[in-house]
Amino acid sequence: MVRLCLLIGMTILTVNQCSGAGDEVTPHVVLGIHGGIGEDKKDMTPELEVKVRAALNAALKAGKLKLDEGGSSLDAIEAAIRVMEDDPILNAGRGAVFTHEGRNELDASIMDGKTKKAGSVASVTIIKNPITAARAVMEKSKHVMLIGRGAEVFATKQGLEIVDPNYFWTKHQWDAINEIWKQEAADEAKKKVNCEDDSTSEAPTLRKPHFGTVGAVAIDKNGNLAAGTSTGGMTNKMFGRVGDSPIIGAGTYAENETAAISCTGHGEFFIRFAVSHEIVSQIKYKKVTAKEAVEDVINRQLKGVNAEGAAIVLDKHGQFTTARNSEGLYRGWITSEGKTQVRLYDE
Amino acid sequence: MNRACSLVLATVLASLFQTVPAWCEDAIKPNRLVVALADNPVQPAGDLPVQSWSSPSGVKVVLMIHGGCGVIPRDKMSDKLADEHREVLKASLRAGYAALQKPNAVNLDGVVEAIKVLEDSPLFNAGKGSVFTREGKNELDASIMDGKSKQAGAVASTTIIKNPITAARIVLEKSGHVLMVGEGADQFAKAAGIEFVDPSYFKTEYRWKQHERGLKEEQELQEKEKAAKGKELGKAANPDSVDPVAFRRRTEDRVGTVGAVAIDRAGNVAAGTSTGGLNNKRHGRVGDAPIIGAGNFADNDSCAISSTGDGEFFLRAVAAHEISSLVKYKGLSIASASKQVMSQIKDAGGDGAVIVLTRKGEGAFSYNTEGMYRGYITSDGEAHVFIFEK
Repeated sequence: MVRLCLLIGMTILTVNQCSGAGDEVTPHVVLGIHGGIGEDKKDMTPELEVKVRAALNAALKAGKLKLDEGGSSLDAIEAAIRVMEDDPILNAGRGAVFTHEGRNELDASIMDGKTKKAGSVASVTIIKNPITAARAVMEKSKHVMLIGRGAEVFATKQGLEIVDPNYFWTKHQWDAINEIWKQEAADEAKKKVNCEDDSTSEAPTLRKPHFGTVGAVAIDKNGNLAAGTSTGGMTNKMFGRVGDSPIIGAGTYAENETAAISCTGHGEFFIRFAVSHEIVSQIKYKKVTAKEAVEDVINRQLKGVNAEGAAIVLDKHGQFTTARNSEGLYRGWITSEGKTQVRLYDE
Repeated sequence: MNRACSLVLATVLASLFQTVPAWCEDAIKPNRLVVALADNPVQPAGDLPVQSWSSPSGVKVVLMIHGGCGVIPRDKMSDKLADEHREVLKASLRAGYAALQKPNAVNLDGVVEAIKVLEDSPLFNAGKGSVFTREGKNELDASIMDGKSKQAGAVASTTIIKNPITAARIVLEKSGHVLMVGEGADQFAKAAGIEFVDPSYFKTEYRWKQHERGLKEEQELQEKEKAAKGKELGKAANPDSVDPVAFRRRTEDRVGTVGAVAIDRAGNVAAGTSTGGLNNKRHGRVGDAPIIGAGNFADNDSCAISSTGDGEFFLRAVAAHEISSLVKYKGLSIASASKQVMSQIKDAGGDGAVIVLTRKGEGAFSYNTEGMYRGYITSDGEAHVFIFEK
């Protein structure tokens, strides 16, 4: 009996280890995308799966179309990310998670691998497509990062589409934050009864943290790389919290000499480990492959501190790969001939 | 014989690479300035000033600070004003050093106490005496990172926190987050018991004049461009559409920041950075100071870095993490790594400076401007400060 248990245990362990392996290296990829870590597999329904796959396929199609029309890698990732922002299923743009105060605060960033110029916005609440605002910051302002009201005023002046904050509201995300609020109230009540001295719990306890983010990496016919990331952040995040998505070097990085990267996961760790720039640095200075670098950062460094997350990488040769230490990663890629792959978990 | 050889080699190598390989450390006197460059106010990118120290037995650099590289131009800097700056730099070094001497002191204590002195001084662009935004407000940024745990905290666009570096530390210790911005950051710090002030506390006459002069100069520049471009001008009137490189502002309007890097007794490094940002920056603009990897990074396996300069260039280059990576993965010395990154930034059109410290107590300053407010203190408590000196 004990032996049987052990055997089962080991099988589960092996499966778990496999689930962090990421995807094989695929050559001739022109566009790779992700839609975040997503739901646990046990919570995935067939209906949701259909919707997620549809969103990823639509994003790949929109990005590829830009490239086929002769657009730049920036055009491709912006188009792909806009599709995912507009889709209420993914945690970016419409369908973003709620903050502790019940608001939607969105972050996004973009980087051009050719010029190494970058743009980002954080904590914006009325810009329909934050990725487009990030691109405007890169191309139309002297700055790299604009936050809050200042970013919103800039985007408005640039003529970007502005929406009422209600636009981002979705029932499934509202239900999710409500559940957390109820849980917190219950915890609070329990604490009072027990009179426990729990001074360490100043930060809201996250029952089921949702690290959804969307991102894209692309290479165009001129060999220019670009990367972009957009998110609603972490469920129940504190007012003013900014994660890794709008941070150049953390959630997003691109340079033609090396690779383009977009990340998703527990943002705080991705900032501290400067994940996307760390991957690039290892490729450049440690002379490892993109696959080795991304696996080291995601499955050794981050896993070592129990930080959940994933990254997608497209190198200068058009070789695409991913690494994750999470069960799932909504992801997809498309080659120059239009061959498409969409995956959610191990496949 | 051996010793003489290594001395000669060390001298040759030092002049070649402006750094000291570990094997010849014993040939160098404690705290001797390894490199002295020609007194040239405009440094071509390939020949930037770098100061670095070896760490012979016993005497280590334990704390380094900077007050930005947007120094008041030499011809406008009176001896008295220069001395005032030096005094504050020394006070900062002493405060940080004293904090590090306390029982159970950790690296973050040295960084925070040193930076607090610089924030409280009206002379530097951080805390009191910060520059104004275009709208005439003060929006402050700060960050801190521990090289042992690689934990970090940062605040951006805060308006009521007296010492933003203390808010960055409380974000590191209490929030579960790394970066908090704007009103959310103000509220969090206030609730956590951090000292807050009325926004008028930060105002100084000098910075207000700088703000007004900056607005005037910008307007004149735009009118000039308007006249030159004629019809296309509707665009140039929008400050957002002005080319960043063509639109050169005075150095002292762009690159003021304070920072510190320290080691504690256990040999853990830490870095901190604090700033009022860019003179007349637009509301909501965030530079590199609160961004981990750009304006600040610390890793026991490489070094602790605090930077100052044209924030946008440091953000794109992920400058602090780039220096760390060059040391960690390419095996460069901290002096070579910081010089290389400062050259890259200079070539891209940006001004800036960095301070770098390893856990062995080796330090380096590198800057690509006329001068840099800076200083270091060694384990025996001896403080050294510099402004224009190479």
